[in-house]
Amino acid sequence: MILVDLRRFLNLLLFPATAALLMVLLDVTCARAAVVLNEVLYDPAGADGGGEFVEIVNTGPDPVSLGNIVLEFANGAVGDVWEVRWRATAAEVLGSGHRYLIVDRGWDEAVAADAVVALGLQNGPDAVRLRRGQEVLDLLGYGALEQEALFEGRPHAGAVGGRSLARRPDGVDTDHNDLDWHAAEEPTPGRPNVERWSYRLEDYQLTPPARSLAGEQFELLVSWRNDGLDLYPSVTGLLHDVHGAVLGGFTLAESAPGALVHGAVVWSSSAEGNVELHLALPRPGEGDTLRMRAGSAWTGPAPVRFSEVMAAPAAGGPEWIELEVPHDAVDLDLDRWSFADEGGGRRALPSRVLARGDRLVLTADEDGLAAWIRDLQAADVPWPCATADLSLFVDESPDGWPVLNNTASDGDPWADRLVIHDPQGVIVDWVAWGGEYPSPGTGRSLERIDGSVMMDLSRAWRSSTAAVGSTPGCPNSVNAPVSGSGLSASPTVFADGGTSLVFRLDRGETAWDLCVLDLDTRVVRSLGGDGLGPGPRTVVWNGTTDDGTAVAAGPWLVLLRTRDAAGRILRRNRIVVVRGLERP
Amino acid sequence: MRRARSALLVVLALLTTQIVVGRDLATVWLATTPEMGAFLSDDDPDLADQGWLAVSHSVLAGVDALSQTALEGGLVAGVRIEGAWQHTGAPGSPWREDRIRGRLGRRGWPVALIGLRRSVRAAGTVWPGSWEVALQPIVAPGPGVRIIARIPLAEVTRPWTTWGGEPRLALALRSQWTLGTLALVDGAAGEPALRCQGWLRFGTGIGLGAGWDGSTGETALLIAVRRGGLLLRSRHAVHPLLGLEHGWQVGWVGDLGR
Repeated sequence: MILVDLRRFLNLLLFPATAALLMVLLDVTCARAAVVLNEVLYDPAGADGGGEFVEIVNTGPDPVSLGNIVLEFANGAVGDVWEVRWRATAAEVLGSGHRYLIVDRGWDEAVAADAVVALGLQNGPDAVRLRRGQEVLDLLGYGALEQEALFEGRPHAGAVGGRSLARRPDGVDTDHNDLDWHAAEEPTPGRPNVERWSYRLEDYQLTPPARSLAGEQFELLVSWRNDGLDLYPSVTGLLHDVHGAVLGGFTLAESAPGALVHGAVVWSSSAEGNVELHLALPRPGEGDTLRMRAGSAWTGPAPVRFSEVMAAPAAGGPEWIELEVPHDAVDLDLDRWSFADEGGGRRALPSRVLARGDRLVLTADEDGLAAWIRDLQAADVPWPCATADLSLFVDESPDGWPVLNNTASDGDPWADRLVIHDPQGVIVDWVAWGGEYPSPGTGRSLERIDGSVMMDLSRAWRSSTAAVGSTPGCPNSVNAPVSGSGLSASPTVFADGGTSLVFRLDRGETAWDLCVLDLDTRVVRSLGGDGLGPGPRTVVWNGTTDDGTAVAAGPWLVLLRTRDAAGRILRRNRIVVVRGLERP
Repeated sequence: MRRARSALLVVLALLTTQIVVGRDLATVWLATTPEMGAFLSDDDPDLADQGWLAVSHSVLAGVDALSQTALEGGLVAGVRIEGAWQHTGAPGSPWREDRIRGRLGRRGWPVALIGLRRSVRAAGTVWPGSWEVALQPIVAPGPGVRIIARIPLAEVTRPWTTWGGEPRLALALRSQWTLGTLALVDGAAGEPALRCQGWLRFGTGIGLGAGWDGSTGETALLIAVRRGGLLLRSRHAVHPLLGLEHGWQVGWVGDLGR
């Protein structure tokens, strides 16, 4: 009786405790399975197939037999239906802390695979799991999944093409897919997902984005996030090119895991062309180095460049951009080249071949630009160059037009900026205006000065000094050949084509006016003026008076007067030009 | 007095180191060299035989390519013969023009014959020239009053425009201390324009004057000095567009009958 009572007492006392202990142990076993999924790449960069992999890891202290473990895949669109993708052989054992790499057929990475199978993973919403018998060792669901059998906790949102889903930290499983996993920018098959000391390149910015002269300085601003597991001490890193030549050094401050740190390096390269930028950061204590790519920089003359920008056309006029292939460059096929303005996407350039010296005018409104030119010609306004037929040059961007901004927002150094990308996406040329940069007035374009370099844009670009406000399809007015600051004419004996009057305003000369006088020094034609300050000017006189009458053959006087900011006349230049006799 | 004249000559010499003149040398002075010489010395130019010679240099409208040099001379010894050559343009100038003038008359006759030949090279190419022959009636209705007209007899119309030539009509009024000249000249486009100058003589050999040009709007200060046979004239004008202009002439006037 006593024994019966004692047994009852023990049953009552021990059974719940034992059961509770078993439940706790069982729970720990399920939550912290020794073999877990550690990294999955289901959407490799490029074409599908050949790059998928699943990495598993033994997180326990002892070797684990992989016998009877299978890797299964479930299509989220179908539901809780699992297909075996890999089955371990009974003899396979995974040591403690070791990884096991299961890859798709066609695997061509340097890392050796442990098993090659037809993985056939899809891009989500889907799920993969490890199962031993009826026991699900681990489960990863990604994408917008609804069925709870397809994920733990909440599904992970998934990774874009080229990125893997990686457990962070390695092997740590809390049964919450959305928290345990992250999208890794660089897949790490066969290697730890998260290092003890690691930085992830968060952002980089090259200033300026391109240089037209090799040897000019760039500044590379880089932001890193400490994505390691430990405090990263202050280190000195190096910037080098693809050949390993050191371009400069920089120092990073100490950072805690998850913290963002910034570094800057001023560098230059004597090489011309595309310079690939690589960063190297020493990893403490391991004799190892973190290496990452930080884009490319273009140095030296661009194969194609901006030569003129009309960002603020007069009322009714269209915006346009003029490109040119420099005379000392080679013929260029613009196929796969693109341009973009600040904050806008890349827009393909028209696929055509430009010979060196050719210009191409891109416009928001081809008809509007043509109408503007026709109106000028109808009004007998001198065109800035002999060939006024722009139909061969004007072309719209095939991807539409980026609306060019003319007002700099608070804190912005420019109102807008244009860049040209080569087929590899490298910026080879750029121009900015407004804000801290040259700002042409309404109806006046921004012209590139020949021979200038991009070190100082305020000296490389100037407001157009053409009488019509711009020179689309023509040589830039700011590049008019001028010897000295005086007034010159070309030709001095002219016919129906008129003559180009060229001069330069020196420092202190802010305004000018130009007129043609007859031999009694009476003004017969006013050729305008501006208050744009120093710089070259070109004005074409077509040989007519103010009322449009052609002048007689013979000598005509041209008078230039320049003024300072107070309106005082600083100088008068006078030349004689001759209207030639008409040929019989 | 002599020291004052010397000082004035120095000033005039300094002024002429920068030579700019806005008008053609042929018409800028209005009063001829012997007329001005006679006025400054209070002589009557018609009384004695005389000869004269003058050289002028200027830069037309301030344009270096239109520098002008003129040489003119005359002889009055019963017969009145005058000749002038004027060259416009510097080496390399796109416009170069030569003028040759001749005037033939007789002292006391009321008419003279004048001829003008123009030739042009533009950028090295010779253009068709032109010539003109005209009668020049001279009327003296009273003491110190002279009216000169120009009546073209024959001319070849030039295919190019250029500076005007002789005045179409000129009036000169002279007293012991004053000289006034008024001229109707042909403008470059052929339309007439009025030009006038007035002089005051100070003592013997010094004259100051003022001028106005209706075609250009210039207002000018005129200075003339005669020392013996040497005559120096200068003109300092303000042009509304071109600014200050200066011009000068050095001449010799000799009384052959004395």
